[in-house]
Formats: sequence, structure tokens, C-alpha cells
Amino acid sequence: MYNAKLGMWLFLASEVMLFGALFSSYILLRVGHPNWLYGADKHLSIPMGTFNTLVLISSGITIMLAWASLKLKDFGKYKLWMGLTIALGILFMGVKSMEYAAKFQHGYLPSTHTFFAIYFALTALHALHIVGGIIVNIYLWGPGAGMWETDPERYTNRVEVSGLFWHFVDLVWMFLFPVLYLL
Amino acid sequence: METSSAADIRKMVQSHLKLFWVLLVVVGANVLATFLPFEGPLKIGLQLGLAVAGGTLVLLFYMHFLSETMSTYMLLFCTFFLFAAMMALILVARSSHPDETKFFMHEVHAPAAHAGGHDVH
Repeated sequence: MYNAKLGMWLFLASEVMLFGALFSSYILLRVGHPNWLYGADKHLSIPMGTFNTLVLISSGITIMLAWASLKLKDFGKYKLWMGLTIALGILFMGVKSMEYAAKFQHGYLPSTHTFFAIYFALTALHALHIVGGIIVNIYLWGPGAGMWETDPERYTNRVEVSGLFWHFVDLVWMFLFPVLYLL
Repeated sequence: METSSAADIRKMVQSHLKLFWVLLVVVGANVLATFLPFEGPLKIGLQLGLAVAGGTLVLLFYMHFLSETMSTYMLLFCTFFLFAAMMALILVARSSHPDETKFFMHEVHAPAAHAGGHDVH
């Protein structure tokens, strides 16, 4: 166990509490609301949400393959898989921004209904995590990749820690999608 | 010649990919469950159960991703999400029950009936 990995686990533990608090808020708001929105009244696109879920879990696979490539000393494949992870993250954000744009266009704002307030709060916080992950992955893929020549083990560890974070973002979405879109 | 650790990595990749396909099936089943022709606690329970199953599969991703024993951390993560999901299941199922006051089998008497002097028995 190296320091960076321990640090990431502690950070993820705090993240679990952050999202756990928000999920609890969602449950309490939903239970206590006299007119909660269900089904089509939520105006969320299930096909778009499903597509984004597929994109995100695919990116979980590609970042794992990127890390595995480094372990196997195949830097070329690493670049390919990490590049794909970044592309999938950007695709996720693209679809998400299309969904947001559609909501704003139709006048569905956080102030419209408690459901939209919690929807925007949860998905925007999740999107911020995605953006953070993309930035770190771009750094590791581009300017930070020089470390592979000087200290390959440390570089591999950095990619692993980034992968841990990315899997957490994946995990949160696995709960956000059914709770917001399907239920 | 392939070293044993390289073989381990390849094995890990293979099992990760298998989990990926199972996860796709779970997510697909959850989406399809949305279109079931009935509403209520059973449907909500089914969908939350599938959501928890999906989350657990991602946690298994973690276990493969890690090259060393992190079982305790994983167990804590799983336990947290399990309790959160169970709480959600109970609260949401209760809220969608036709008679919320009877969800936990409590017999609730309407105060107005007693105050008005009418015998409701």
C-alpha cells in the first residue's frame, strides 16, 4: 500500500459520506413531498440515461485496460485505452449537457420542483467529479506521460489511483441512474 | 516468455470483462423493469434490488482492479451501500403504499371518529 493509494481510499470514504448524505436527502424529500414526480412527469429521457450508463461502465473497462497495459509494459496500448477513457468521459458530459440544455429550454429549473432541485444537485455534483477525472486523465495521457520514461512504477501507480477514482464515479452513477431516471 | 504476474493481469482482465457483461444485463433488466405493467412496492423493490446488484458488480470491479488485499475496505463500502439501499427500499416502498399508515401493520384510529362520538367499531 503506497501513500497515494491510501490517500485516495480516504478521499473516497469521505466521498461516500458526501453522496450518502445527498442520497438520504433525496429519500427524505421524496417521502415527505405531497406531489412527487413519477414516470413521464419527470421529463427525463430514459434512452439517454441508459446510453450514458453504458458509456460510463465502458469507460470503467477501458481505464482498467489502460492500467493493465502499463502493468504489461505496453505503453502504446495504454495510450489507446486511456485515450478512449477520456473520449468516453467527454461523450458522457456531452450527453449530459444535451439533457441539461433540454431541461433549461423547457423551463425545468432547480426552482421548478423539489425533484428537479435534487436532480440537478446530484447530477451536477457527479458531473463535476467526471470533469475532474477527465482533467487528471488528460494530464496522465499527455504532459504527465513523460514519467513513464523516468519512473514507470510511480507512473503506473498514478494511473491506478486515477482508476480507483474513476470507478467510484462509475459506482455513484450506478445508483444515480435508477434512482433518478427509473424509479 | 510471459511472467506469472503478466498471466495474473491477463486473468484479471478476462474476469473484469465477464463482470462487465453481467453488469450490462443487470442495467438492461432494470431499464426493462421500468416498463412493467404494474406499480407499487414490488416494482420499486425489484428496481432497487437491481440497482444494488449493479453497484455490487462495480464494487467487484474494484476488487479485481486492486492487486492486493483490500477486503475490509470493500466490506465497509458494501455494507454502507447495502444499508443505504435497504433504507431507501423501506422508505420509498412505504411512501408508495396505498395506505401509508398501515405499511408497518399499525392499526391507526382516526381521532375525528372518536371525538365526534361515533362508534366506528
